[in-house]
Amino acid sequence: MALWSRLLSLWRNLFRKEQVEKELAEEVQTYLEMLIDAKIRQGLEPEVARRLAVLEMGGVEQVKEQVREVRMGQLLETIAQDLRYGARMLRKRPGFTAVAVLTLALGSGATSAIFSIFNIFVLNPFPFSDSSRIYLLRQSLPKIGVKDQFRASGPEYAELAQIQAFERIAAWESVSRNLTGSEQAERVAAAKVSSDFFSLLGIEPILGRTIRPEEVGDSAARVLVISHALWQRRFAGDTNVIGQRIALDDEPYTIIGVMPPNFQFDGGDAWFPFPMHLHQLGRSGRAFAVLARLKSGTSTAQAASELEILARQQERDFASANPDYENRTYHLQPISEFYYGPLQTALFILFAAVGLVLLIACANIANLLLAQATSRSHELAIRQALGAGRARLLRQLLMESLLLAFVGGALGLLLAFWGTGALVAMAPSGTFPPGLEIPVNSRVLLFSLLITLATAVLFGLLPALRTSGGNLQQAMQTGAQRSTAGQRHRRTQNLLVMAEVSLSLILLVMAGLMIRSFSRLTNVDPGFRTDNLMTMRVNRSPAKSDGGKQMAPFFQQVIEKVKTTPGVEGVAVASHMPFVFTEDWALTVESEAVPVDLRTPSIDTRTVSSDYFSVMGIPFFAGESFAEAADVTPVVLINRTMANRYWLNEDVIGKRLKIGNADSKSPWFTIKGVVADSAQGTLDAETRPEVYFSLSQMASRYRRMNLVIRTTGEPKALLSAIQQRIQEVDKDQPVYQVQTIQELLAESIGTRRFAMLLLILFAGIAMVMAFIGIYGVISYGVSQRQQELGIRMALGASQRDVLRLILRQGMIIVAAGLVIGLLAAFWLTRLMANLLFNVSATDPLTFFALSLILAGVALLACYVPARRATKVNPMTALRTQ
Amino acid sequence: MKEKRTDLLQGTLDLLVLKALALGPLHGLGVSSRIEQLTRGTFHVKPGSLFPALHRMEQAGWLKSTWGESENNRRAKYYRLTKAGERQLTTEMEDWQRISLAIANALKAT
Repeated sequence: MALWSRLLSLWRNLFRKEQVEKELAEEVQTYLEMLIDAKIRQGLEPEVARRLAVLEMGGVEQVKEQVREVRMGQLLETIAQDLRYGARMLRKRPGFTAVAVLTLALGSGATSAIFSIFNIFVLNPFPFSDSSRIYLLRQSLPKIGVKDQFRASGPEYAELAQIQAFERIAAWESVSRNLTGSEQAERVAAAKVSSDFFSLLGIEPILGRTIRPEEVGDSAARVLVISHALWQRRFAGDTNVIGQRIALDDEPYTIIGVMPPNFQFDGGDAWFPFPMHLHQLGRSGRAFAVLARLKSGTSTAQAASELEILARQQERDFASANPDYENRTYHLQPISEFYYGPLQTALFILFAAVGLVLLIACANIANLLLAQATSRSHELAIRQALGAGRARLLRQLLMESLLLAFVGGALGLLLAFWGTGALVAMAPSGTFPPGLEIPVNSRVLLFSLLITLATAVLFGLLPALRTSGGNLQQAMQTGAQRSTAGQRHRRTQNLLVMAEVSLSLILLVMAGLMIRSFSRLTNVDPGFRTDNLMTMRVNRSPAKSDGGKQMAPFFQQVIEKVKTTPGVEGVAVASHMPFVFTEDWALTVESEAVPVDLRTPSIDTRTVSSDYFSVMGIPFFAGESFAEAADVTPVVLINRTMANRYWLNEDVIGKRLKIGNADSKSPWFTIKGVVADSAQGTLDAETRPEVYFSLSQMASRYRRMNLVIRTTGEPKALLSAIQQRIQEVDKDQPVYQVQTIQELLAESIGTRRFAMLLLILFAGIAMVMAFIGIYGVISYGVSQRQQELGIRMALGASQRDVLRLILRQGMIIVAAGLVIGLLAAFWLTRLMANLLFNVSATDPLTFFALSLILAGVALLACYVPARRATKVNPMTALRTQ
Repeated sequence: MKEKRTDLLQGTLDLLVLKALALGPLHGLGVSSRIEQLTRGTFHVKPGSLFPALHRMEQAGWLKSTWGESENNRRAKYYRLTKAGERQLTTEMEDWQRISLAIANALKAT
């Protein structure tokens, strides 16, 4: 009842304001008239009665004002008043408003854009149900130099399934297949999975079903779950797709399910059951990855201790047959880290960087506000004299800031909508999962709102406190305002400039470290010539390659044919290219240099044709290349690192190694030559030992090979001619992923490059803002001190003296800012250590060079207004008062 | 206009207004003269206190106002008690009696 009545009054006061005011006026007026009537009735003259009545009432307007003050919604009313007033003040200063709003929009827009990406990859990294409980299992086998690899063998998988802390485990192995069946052949990324794969991730198909347990291990059960993207692409979203047949590498599969669009895993488009029972595989054949979901309420520590017990038990039970088990360890890696690990660090750094930019923007606006505070102190003093309390003035000033922040924030949000998409689009492929949609969701909106409020307080509070707290009398005396109030503001402004300088320096150092690290990286010699080198993938189905037997002959034929293309200098074949991925096998080396139990390490391998080294430009240190079919016994080539590690650089030609452990049925391969080291997975990784197998002897193990073509001119110009030659060998043979080596290289460092460019952009913005900030404060100081400078010059100070005076004062602030910035950067940059390559996070040269650059920019920002100060005509300066 | 006046305590004003209106609807001047009459001239409520109080109490739902004709044919705003206002009067009267008794006792003690 009471509440209802209050709400009704509130509504009336806010929306029926005229009516309420009219009634109030009439009510008070009637009271006065009636009072006069009463006094006349008492026998007074009408004139006298009126005067006495007015006196008794104490003023009609005052009474009305007192009533207004008890009205509901009075607070809202004054806030609305402040807002209107604030808007008017901002409109009156369009230059300032535009600069402030744009600075804020840029700052908050960039921050929100980075946040919306951060939100997905760091705060809410995986679209799977309860993804924080999903882990990837990694193991280290120190005996054979395997560290943190994620492949497990069948028997190990069966033993891992017994761990109590796991709700369930699942296995997957990524493969790629030629998809045929309808019109056009296509290369798809697929995966062999165990039946628990989908249920572990907690994702239901939108059509059909997923894989049943009895279908795993049954090579006749060729069932296939496809991705939403593949369903759209090949079947145009046809709901009758369930039960249709398509072929993967010429083997027919029946489609049983379609996954939802947000389901993405390892870039896969199709999933089918493992055709064999995992536990029937050999103990040392580590082929597939293992996912584990922890039971809810179970800690990773519990799981880790169980894994440790398992590792020790495996060591005890199997070490005799598997010496690599000695000191083995397991560990769990959060699934998000596996997928987004480096990206998360990069995003974290970028988020921090953009936050610094926003802070600098706030400092700049605060400075602008302070500069105006002096000119407004008169206005505010008048308001104070008319009865406005300090709280009222503070509220009004903050309301202006809030208004600015909201306009800037709204513009920033628009920028964020656009910027998020642009960021994802500009990022090199591989940075973000394909088809990623980054929603601007409620969390992003909330974040933007908080940012807006925070910035308003950040840039508004200090000037508001400074401005509203002035001494009334001093402010009213315009002369005093210049010296006293101005001085106080200047101190605050100096502090703000100092903060700006130090924040900019942190950003500059961050960007500088990235640049240095990147240039070190691009100067790494990959060990081969990268110009005019093109690669493409060729996939052969088992049927066409006759179970592998026809692989080598086919590729020999292709090499011979492509070689005849005009403009082609050389052609070779490799199982995989540098910068794409690496492959490692367990090999046993015949070496006296290492202890017996270290002779079955896991080594990078590559199968290549004999011309690979000459085409790539990798020199030989010893021996010679393969002779293809003329090699009658099994032969290999090794790289320099391999020769150093296992044979200590002695004469290795004629030494032997075999695939698998010492008891394996593999023949011994004789080392025929040693080649120089060349890049493997990435440029920033140390070169590992590597063994090259011969195409003629090993091609049957592969389904896919890469053609490597060295040309005399632009490689891609020859593509169709080369394709024609390949089709002369097999008219149905597609090629895909046609890329130059330079593209592969660029892609492998693309994310790093992208992070660097963004940091440079942020640092650049920061430096410009710092410049504006310093410039603004120094010129403001000069304009405030005209009179003093005039006196100095009148008393004989030279232009040089004045210049030095202004510069010294400016540079003292800058120097203080630089020192603080250096200390902060020294402490902060270590957080980005793992984004850096061959550069220390506290690299002295970077720190020094960038301090110098920033000092130079600051000097320029001081010099321009200082120079103007020297042009002051003493007489004019003295007269301005 | 020579009578001794006591400053109205904040709470007492509400109580007096409610009491004045308990006898029937009144306009602003009516309320103030009724209070003067009830307190035998001890309290003289000025419009600067009276109107804010009336508006505040109306917003609280204790009073309801209507426009009507005064005895001299002037349009005036009349206030009357609502049910909630009657309840409020009862509680405020009880409170007042308790307090004044306590204070009277306190002052009597020597």
